[in-house]
Amino acid sequence: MRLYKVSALVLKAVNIREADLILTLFSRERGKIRVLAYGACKPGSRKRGAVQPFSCANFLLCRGRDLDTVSQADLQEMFPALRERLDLLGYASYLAELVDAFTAEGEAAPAVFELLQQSFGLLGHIQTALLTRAFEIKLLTLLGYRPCLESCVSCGGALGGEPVYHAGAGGMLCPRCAALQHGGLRCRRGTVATLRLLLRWDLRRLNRLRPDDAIRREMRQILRRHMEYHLERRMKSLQFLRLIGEDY
Amino acid sequence: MRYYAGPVARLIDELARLPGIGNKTAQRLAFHLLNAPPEAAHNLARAVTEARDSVRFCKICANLTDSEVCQICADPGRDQTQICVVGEPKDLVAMEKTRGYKGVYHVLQGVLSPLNGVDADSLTIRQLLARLEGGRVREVILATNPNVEGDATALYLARLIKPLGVKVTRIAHGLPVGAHLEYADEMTLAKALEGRREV
Repeated sequence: MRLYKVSALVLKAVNIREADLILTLFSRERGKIRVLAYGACKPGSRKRGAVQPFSCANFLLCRGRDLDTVSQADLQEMFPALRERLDLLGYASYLAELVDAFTAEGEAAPAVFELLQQSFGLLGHIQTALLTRAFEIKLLTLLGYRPCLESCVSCGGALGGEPVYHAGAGGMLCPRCAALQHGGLRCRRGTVATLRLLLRWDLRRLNRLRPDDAIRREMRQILRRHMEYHLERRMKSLQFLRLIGEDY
Repeated sequence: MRYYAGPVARLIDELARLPGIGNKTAQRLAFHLLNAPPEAAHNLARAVTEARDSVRFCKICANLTDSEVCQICADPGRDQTQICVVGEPKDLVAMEKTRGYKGVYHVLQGVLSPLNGVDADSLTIRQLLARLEGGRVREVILATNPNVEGDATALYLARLIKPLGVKVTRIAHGLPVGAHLEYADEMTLAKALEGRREV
């Protein structure tokens, strides 16, 4: 069959030529796919609304030699709030970039699709920074990159009073093992406990959590270090979040 | 192995560097220029050199111009209290074609792109803020494209300009002329409803 259907979120849209776009989609059925949308920037294009970043749509795609092309697109959800508030736009870009960076093309991950769709819907309703941390740890878990938070990743013993996060080790170290390693990040027990809660809790319940500023800061440092260790680069959208004073 | 004489090969190489032009098209253009009367090639070469050497950015609005200040900024008939902010010079031309706008412009020379990294310093935002300092400007119209980059830029500029006490507006979004309602997406329709007018 030359034509096939997917339900997908648009992660990125890059302009090529006059009015064409290369879209990076994250579909429920086939994971990440890159497709061409001809004429999508023209005011009269029927696909225009559905191919905007962060929107969720049903796509009818046509197999091509290099890239598949968008034959039809039926918009399902647009998340208009993400385009009306600067901070939400910045965070939505960050979540989309994370999914793009951590996934390979053609590998189906329906749970990641659901997570991203739900997160886009909740941005603006749940404490944004906390939602972002929960998204990060859940995404890492779904894709097999989760830091070990339960016990010392080196000796398997209890973490003790002041655990240390170590990116190279892959998670938390007890103070005794941490003394043998360089470059760890000392954190509180509360930070580790909150990270475990974020992992277990449904995103809609996050407003019940009220971690203090120090815990928020430590969680951000741990997750960012962990992701940068695995990706070997920084997210470009963080630069934008910093510009608008929202990187917390 | 070289198939063409040196100057012809060089001409094809240079033409193929232009956007949207592949090797075949470059060859076709090169042979057209070689077969045409010599004046055609000389005129083209002169036009390219003159445009490249004389065109610069207007010191007020950052539009392309061949003098220090562009025609629009120098026009006394223009309303200097209204500034329309656009991303690129070609957007300014599109706005001018409407013949409905009598204010002046500011060209940002790009837009903020959250997903491709962003360098606000590479845009002309600082010059725009400097233009607003005199207190003469009453309204800034944000006419960036209605996509993620355009919206991000408009929201960012609105955040910077509003505290200065200047009215900030965004061009309306809605249905394009000749469009069908059934094919409009929910956001476009919602925006069209928001901006409805009495007839």
